[in-house]
Amino acid sequence: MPVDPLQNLVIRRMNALGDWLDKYEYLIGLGDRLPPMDPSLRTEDRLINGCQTQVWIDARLVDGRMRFQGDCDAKITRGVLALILSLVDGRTPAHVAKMEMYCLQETRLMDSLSPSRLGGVGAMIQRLHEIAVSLCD
Amino acid sequence: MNIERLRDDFPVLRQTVHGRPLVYLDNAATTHKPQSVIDRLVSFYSERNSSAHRSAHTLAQAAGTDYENARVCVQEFLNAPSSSEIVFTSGATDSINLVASAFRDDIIRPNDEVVISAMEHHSNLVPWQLACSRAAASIRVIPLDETGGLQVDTMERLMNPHTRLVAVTHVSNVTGIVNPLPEIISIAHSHDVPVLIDGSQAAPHMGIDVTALDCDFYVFSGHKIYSETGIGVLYGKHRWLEALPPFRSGGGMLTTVTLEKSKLEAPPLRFEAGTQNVAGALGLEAALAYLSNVGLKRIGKHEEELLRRLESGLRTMDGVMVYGDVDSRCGSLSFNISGAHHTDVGMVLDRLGIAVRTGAHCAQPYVRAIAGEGTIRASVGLYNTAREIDDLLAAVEMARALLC
Ligand SMILES: Cc1ncc(COP(=O)(O)O)c(C=O)c1O
Repeated sequence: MPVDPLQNLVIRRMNALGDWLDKYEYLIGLGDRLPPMDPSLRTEDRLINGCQTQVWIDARLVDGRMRFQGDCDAKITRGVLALILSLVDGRTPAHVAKMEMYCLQETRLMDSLSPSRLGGVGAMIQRLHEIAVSLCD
Repeated sequence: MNIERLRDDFPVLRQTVHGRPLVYLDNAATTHKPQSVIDRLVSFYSERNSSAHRSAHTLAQAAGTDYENARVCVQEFLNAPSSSEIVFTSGATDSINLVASAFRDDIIRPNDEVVISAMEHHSNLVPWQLACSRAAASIRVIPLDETGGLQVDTMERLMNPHTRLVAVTHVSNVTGIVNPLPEIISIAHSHDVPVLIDGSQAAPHMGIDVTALDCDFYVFSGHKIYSETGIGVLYGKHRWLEALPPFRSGGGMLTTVTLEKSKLEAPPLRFEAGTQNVAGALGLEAALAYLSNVGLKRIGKHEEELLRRLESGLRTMDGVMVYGDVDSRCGSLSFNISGAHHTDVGMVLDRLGIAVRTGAHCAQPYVRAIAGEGTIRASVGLYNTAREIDDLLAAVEMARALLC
C-alpha cells in the first residue's frame, strides 16, 4: 500500500485524541471549516445513497486536478466528509481512482461509524472512486 | 420489583460498551432474552429436536405436544377463547402479511377501502398499500391531532359500505402513545368492519385481553417480548380464520392431497405451511412464563415511571423537544435536541455506552408529521433502572454541549 503523508497525519492527529468525544469534537471542527456548498448543487445525482444522513458530493476537473465540494446536515458525518475530501482535493483522477483510504481503518473511524453508518462512509469512498474513474478516460 | 436481581437473568446486560456499562434503551427494536428462554432453546435442541405434527415416533410426538402447549400458553396470555385462534408466524410483519394477503385475495374488491392510521409502522402500512393496489382498492387514514395522537372522532366519517378492514397500532413505536382501542373497535364494529391491532409495542408492556377488546385480529413479535427472532403470533377470531384462504402452501396445512386437489386443514394449521418453528414457540412460551412470574402489571408500572422520569428530565433542558403531548406513555419516548442532528446525538450516546435508536423508526409518515427527518428514541424494558435514565439524561447534556 503506497504511503500517503496526508493520511499518516490524520492517523497521528486522531490517535493522539484519547477520548472519542474529543475525536468527535475534532471532526466537528473540520466540518465547520468545510466551505459551504452552493445550494443549487444539492441535487439528487450528487446525493450519496446509503448514508443515514444526507450527504452530497460535487466534483469537477480544474487543470487536470479534482476539486470537490460537499455537504451534510449532521455535524460528525460532515466532519468525516471534510476529512475525506481534504485527502482527495487537488489530486489527479488517476491518483484518486486507485487511492486506498487506509486512515479510516487505522483511526477506527470506519468501525466507529458502523454498523449502519459504515455503509455511509463506504458509500462516500465508493462515490469518490466512481467519479475519479469516470474522469480518467 | 427487585430490578438488580432481574438484571442477572439477562446475560447480554453484563457487558461494557466502549468501556462503559451497557445502558440498553432500544427495547422497542428488540429486547434481550432471559436465561430461561435461552435454556429452553438449548434443551429443545439437545433433548427433543423433532418436527411437530409429522412423524409418529416418541420425540416427534413430544415436540408436537410441546408446540401445542406453547400455543395454549399464548392463548392464555392474550385471553383468547380458543388455542385454535392462535397462529404461529415468524413475527408481527409476517402476521400482518398473512391477513393482508388473505383479504386481498378473498375480501377486498375494486373500490373497496382499508382504514389505517397516520401513526403506523411500515409493517402495518405497506402490506395494506400493496394489497389495496393489487385489488384496485384504496387506503383511508385516521389523521393525527395536535398532540401526536389519533383523531379518532374522524373515524366515523372514514367508514362507509366499502370499508373492509381497520388496521391500527395499539401503541406507537415512536412516541409510546396508546391508542383508544375500545373506541376504535366499537366504531368499526358498528359498521360491521373487522379490526386488526398491531400489538408489537403493547404486548411486552401490558396485559392484553383480546376477548375484552373484541378485536378481530391481534399480532405481535416474539423478539420484542423477550423471546427470539423468527417467532410471532397472529390471533384471529375463529370465524375469520375459518373464512380466510391460506397465506402460503405446502406441507402440514392439508388433510388430503391428490395431484389435482387438496383439502385444507382447519385453522391454525392451515396457516402454518412448512415445518414449524417449534423451538421458537417454546422460547416464546418460556418468555411469557417469565413475564407472568414477574407480573406484567408491575413491569408496566415500573416502565411508565422510567419514562416519566426521562420525560420530566428532558423537559427541563433548554432546546429539547419531546414528541407527543400525553399524560402517560408505553415503552417508547422520542425527542430531539434543537440544533443537533439526531444521528450525531445517537453517535455520541453510543460512545457513552447508551444504546438508543435514531431516525424514522420505520414510521416515516408519522415521524415526518410530528418531528421532521428523524428523532432520538429511548425505549425501556423491564430491566432498565432509574440510574440508567439518569445516565441518559447526563449523556444528552454532554451531546448538547458538544453539538450545539
Ligand atoms: C409497531 C410495530 N409494528 C410492527 C413491527 C414489526 O415487527 P417485526 O419486524 O418483528 O415483524 C414493529 C417493529 O419494529 C413495530 O414497532
